[in-house]
Amino acid sequence: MKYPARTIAAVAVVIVGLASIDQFLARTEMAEVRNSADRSWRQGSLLLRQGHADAALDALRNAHSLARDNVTYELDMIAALVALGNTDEADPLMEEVLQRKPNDGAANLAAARLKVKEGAVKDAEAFYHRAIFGDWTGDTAARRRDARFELVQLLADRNSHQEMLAELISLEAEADTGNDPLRLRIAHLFLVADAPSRAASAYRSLIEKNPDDAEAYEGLGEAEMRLGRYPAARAAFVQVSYRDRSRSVAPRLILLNEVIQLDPTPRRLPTAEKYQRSVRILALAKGDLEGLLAQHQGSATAQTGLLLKYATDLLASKPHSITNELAEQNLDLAEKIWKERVALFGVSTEPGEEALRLTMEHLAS
Amino acid sequence: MSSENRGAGTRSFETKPAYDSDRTLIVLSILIGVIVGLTTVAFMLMTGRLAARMYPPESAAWRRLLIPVLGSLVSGFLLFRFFPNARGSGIPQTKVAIFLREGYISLRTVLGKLTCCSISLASGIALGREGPSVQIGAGIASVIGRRFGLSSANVKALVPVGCSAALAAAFNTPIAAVLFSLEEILGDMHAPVLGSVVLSSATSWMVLHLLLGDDPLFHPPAYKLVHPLEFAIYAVLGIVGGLGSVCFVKLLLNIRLWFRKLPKSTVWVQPVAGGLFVGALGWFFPGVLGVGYEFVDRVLGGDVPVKAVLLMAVLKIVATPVCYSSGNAGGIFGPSLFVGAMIGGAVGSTAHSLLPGITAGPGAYALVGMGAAFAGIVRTPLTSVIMIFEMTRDYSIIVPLMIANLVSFFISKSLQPEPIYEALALQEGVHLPEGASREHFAGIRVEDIIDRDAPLLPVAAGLDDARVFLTNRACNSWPVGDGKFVHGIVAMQQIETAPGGATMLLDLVPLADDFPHVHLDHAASQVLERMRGGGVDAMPVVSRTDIHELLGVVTLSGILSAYQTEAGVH
Repeated sequence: MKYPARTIAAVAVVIVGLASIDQFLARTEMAEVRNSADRSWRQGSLLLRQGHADAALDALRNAHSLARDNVTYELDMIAALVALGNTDEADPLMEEVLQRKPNDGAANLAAARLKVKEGAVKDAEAFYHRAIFGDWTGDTAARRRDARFELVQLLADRNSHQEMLAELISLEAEADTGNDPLRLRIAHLFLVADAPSRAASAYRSLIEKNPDDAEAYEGLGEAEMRLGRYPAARAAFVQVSYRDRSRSVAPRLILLNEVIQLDPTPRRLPTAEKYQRSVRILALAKGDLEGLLAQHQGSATAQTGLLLKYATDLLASKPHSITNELAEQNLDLAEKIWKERVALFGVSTEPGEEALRLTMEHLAS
Repeated sequence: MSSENRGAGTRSFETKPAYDSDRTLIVLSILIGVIVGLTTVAFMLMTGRLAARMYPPESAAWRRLLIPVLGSLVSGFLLFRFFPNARGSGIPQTKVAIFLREGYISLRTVLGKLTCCSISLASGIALGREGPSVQIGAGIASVIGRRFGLSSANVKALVPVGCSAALAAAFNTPIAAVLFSLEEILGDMHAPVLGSVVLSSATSWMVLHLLLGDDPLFHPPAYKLVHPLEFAIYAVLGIVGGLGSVCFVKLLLNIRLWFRKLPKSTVWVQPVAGGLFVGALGWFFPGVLGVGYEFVDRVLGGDVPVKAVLLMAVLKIVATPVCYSSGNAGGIFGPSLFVGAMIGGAVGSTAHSLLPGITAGPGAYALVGMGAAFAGIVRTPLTSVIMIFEMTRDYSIIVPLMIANLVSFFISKSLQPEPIYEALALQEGVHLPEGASREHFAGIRVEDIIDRDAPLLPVAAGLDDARVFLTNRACNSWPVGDGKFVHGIVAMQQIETAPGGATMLLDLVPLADDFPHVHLDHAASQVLERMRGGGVDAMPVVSRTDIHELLGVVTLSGILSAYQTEAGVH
């Protein structure tokens, strides 16, 4: 079978011509669309960073509609939606991104933030972990670390200290020994995670490396305070005041002095001194509870009445000889009064009562 | 009137059937798929880019008024002066070409359609690009078929091949394109060109993907059925979609009728009325200009307030009929989808605000609304279901789509019985065969018209006896054989021009295996095609297991009287 050669040639020319035109048009279109999308994205992400999520959303929507395969644009759009609380719209978009890129670190981090916004904290934690172990572009270690810090912050906000501690231990293990600011941040977070001994250890290693690090000394002071090692805490705060006068550690030093002067537990403390301290502690505890009862009329119970009466009697009594037992008796009663106070009115947060609180907590431990 | 119109119904362009074979049709189907795919992509990119430059969203309002007016003025003049057949959508013109002009569409019409539509769509006229793409694709197929010297029957067969290729590339929906060609263009879901139509559609779709990648036309959110009660809301959407479709179609037909009554001398300037109208609307509402798919995408995303969605639905229902009826070049596919998305978005938003706990977001309704309006306006319910399915690639949307589409289809059919393309052709004075009647005639089969008692002309018969036999039967040809054993077919012309040595039919009709024949299960239309191909007016009906075993004879007069009887009944 023969086909007309001229027709075939003409058809071939038409195809080549059309293909060239199409290529040109498609390239032009794609380039223009890409540029336009990029412009919109830059504008949108800037607005988003500035906190104008509403205005950012329009620009990011435009960027996304022009370049739907660009995950960065879509994730920023989802971030804007999340910032505006529009999780209904963000959810299907997020699902779609995760279907396309299930192991993408940025996508999983965005999903975690979305879940946080929706209040699904357990799901959020799972997405944070996927983000931490996901694929990242650029500085993978830094991105993973940032994701883990974000998770730590979430856990801190929820007082999930055990989980937080687990994440912090991983962060500490992965942290570059030369990266002092990072190690300092981790040490601070150990304190938040209620792990003062780990925090103290982290601060000490930082101080070993840089003995002039006032911030580390300050952290160490806080950690030692939490551990009830008040003299060591005071020593650390004194180092801060030597090294960086801009840091206001005077209130801490005053408090620690008060606590140290109240502390009846040091070894080799003379019995007379221990007794005097126990009397002061009992008087403070009694005064504290009486003050609160006066503020909250009708809160008193039979138990409080008895305790306060007993305390008044003890404080009024003049013992013939001062013994350790008498001191312990005072402290024991002070603890009972403190427990009653905590049961009735909670733990004190007043700065003026902090010395008593620390002392009582120290005694209890 | 153009040469194309002058030749209506009688035109028989020169044919050289030397290349008519299945292999040729397959090769040409692929070729048409490639060329139509490339042309459609170029057309879409060109109109899209030009539109973005002509009236960008942030441009001054005067531009949105001036550009459509200028565009319609230029395209109106070109349409009047050079390309009268490129006016309007292109679907009715394509159907006219298939059913009345042996598939003839001129190259001038193709070029005219491409040029005029590019101008009008790039200038913001509120019409679609898919209908014109179908005519362009059909035209390219017709031109290629003729250039390759195919018979008029095969050129005609290639026209739907071009249609499906165009639609596959324009909508990125290859299956819906095939269905549309069969359901709307041919009106026969069992058309014998199915293979070629599928081939060209697939080829064109591949071209689209090679050039533009796998980006669907719309980007709806993932569909979710929240509660079974939603099916009832989708039925309500079908009702609203159907009513909206009827408004759209009636408005378009009535405005067009009004324009047709204006003096002929105003035809060239009439499109300006459309341009002015849409430009004035565009001054205040830029979203009404052009195809408007970006706005549809936003509505599908569910982030457009219900008031804006309703307003756009009303504006488009008015703007598109005015643009179309005033004679601008452009289609109504795109506007149908636009109107449907707006109606669906409005219904969905209302339902979601009233029953938030049991309804999906408005995007899902906008999507189903698109299908409902398409089914109501274009009257192709199956195509619309598959099209939306292909656009979303989401199987779970099928049931709501079917509910809304069928409700819309039946409402539209009962309130506006004449389908839009047939009604448009009728306004031109052209009576297109309706799908139902085409299917009906396709329903006549050989077994209905076979003459089982008709004898064969004996191979031993003398030529004079054969001449008398044919004269008595009033036929120009007849099967020749022995008892029930068929040798072949003899034509009167063979007898008249027989060589001197020939004395009996056996001398003229040697035993052969490739004589024209049909089987009992063939449709009458296929018999006619074979009669035409073989140049005979009677054919043996033979067994499928033995080509020489005679079952009876069918004649042209038998088929015609069957058509007459059926037409009388219906």
